Amino acid sequence: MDQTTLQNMRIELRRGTQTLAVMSQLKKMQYGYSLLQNLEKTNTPIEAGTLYPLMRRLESQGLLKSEWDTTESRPRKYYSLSDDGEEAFELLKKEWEAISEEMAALLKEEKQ
Amino acid sequence: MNELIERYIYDVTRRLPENTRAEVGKELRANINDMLPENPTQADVEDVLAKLGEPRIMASGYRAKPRFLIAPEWMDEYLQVLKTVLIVFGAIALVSGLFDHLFNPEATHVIGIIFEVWWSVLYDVADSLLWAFAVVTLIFVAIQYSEKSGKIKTTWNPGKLPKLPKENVVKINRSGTFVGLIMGLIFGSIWIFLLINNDVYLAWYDNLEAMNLVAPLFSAAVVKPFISLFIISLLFSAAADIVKLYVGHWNYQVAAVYTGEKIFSNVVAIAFLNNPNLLHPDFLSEVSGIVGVSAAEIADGVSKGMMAVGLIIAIGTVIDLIQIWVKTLKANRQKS
Repeated sequence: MDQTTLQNMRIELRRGTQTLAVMSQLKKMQYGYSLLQNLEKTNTPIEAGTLYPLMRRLESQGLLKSEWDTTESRPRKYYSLSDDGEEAFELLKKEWEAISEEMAALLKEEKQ
Repeated sequence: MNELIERYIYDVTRRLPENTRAEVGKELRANINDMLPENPTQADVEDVLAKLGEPRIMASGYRAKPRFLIAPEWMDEYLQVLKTVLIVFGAIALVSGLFDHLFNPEATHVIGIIFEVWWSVLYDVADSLLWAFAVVTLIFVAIQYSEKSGKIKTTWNPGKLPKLPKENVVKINRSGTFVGLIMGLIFGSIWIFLLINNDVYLAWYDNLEAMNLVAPLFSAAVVKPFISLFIISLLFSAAADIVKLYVGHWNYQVAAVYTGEKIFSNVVAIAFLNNPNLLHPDFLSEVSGIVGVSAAEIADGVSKGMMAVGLIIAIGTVIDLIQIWVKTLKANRQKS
């Protein structure tokens, strides 16, 4: 099979989980780069060029709130879940749990 | 402040809506600075920017919704309509341009007219194609826009499904027929134009500038009655092509029209070529003066050649018609 097709399928499959991964880390305030490192540590890395725009999109959808910290020498924009964001996160988490159970059952059946 | 970083930020933000540029720029600068070590070298900066990737792609990430002129689900319809419209409009521009410039030329001699016709028609066609492309694209953009904004609701139901194509029919190649129709009209009208003005264009001049006539190629008395026959033949073959395009497959009616047209136009052509008085006597005697063979012998040779040409045309036509009828009969017998 064509390697690019395979690669695209993998990316496609993972893309939907990126939002959930980002939201899971934002119960406490984080700035862009710290989140990037966090995700790398937990083995769910997202490329910088994808992550930064994603955070901003979530903010414009009202799921994240942000504030600038200008007290230190480097100004940083901190993000965290808004109330709507927490609600959305709980919903998506349940959805994810349901999906992983369903898929696990499905894939186990397929194995037999 | 690093110039390369600023250039990167500029290249991303210039693609974004004006009111978000400052904020995105500030955030991007903060993120880039976080990714850099203390006292970064130029190589560190380049490294980080390479990691962030192409500004064009980064900018598209910042936009919430994907943007496109023609949505993927409209693409097939768009291409199909575009193809049809371009062919039709290109053909109309080609034919009307040819008629216009061929019959009302501004240039006064043959070479000038050929250049004028070629370039003006090319210009007309290109102009018309560009317009057709722009208009079709704008209409599709408008349809998608009004659909997205909810101004029109397109509801689909199974009743809208297209009919299945007829089985057991021999399809007529529509694009081939269309090209044939256009080519026929172009060359047919050029031929008729040349015949109408045969004293000017189909004649022997020893000096083109002075238009010093040596001898006309054809006898005017022979050509004259054939002009209307060729016009009828041209219209007949255009009509037959239109019937083929309209019906789209071979049936008895189409085959009959096609047969009538082929017989008529080939009989006209063969009769024209084999007319014993076609070549002007002056022309024959001029040629005989140059090649040193008597005019009668030249006329004889030409008429033998024309007979051979006529025979080839006749055989070709018969073979063509037999093929068409075999196809048509076979397909229509299977159907019943």
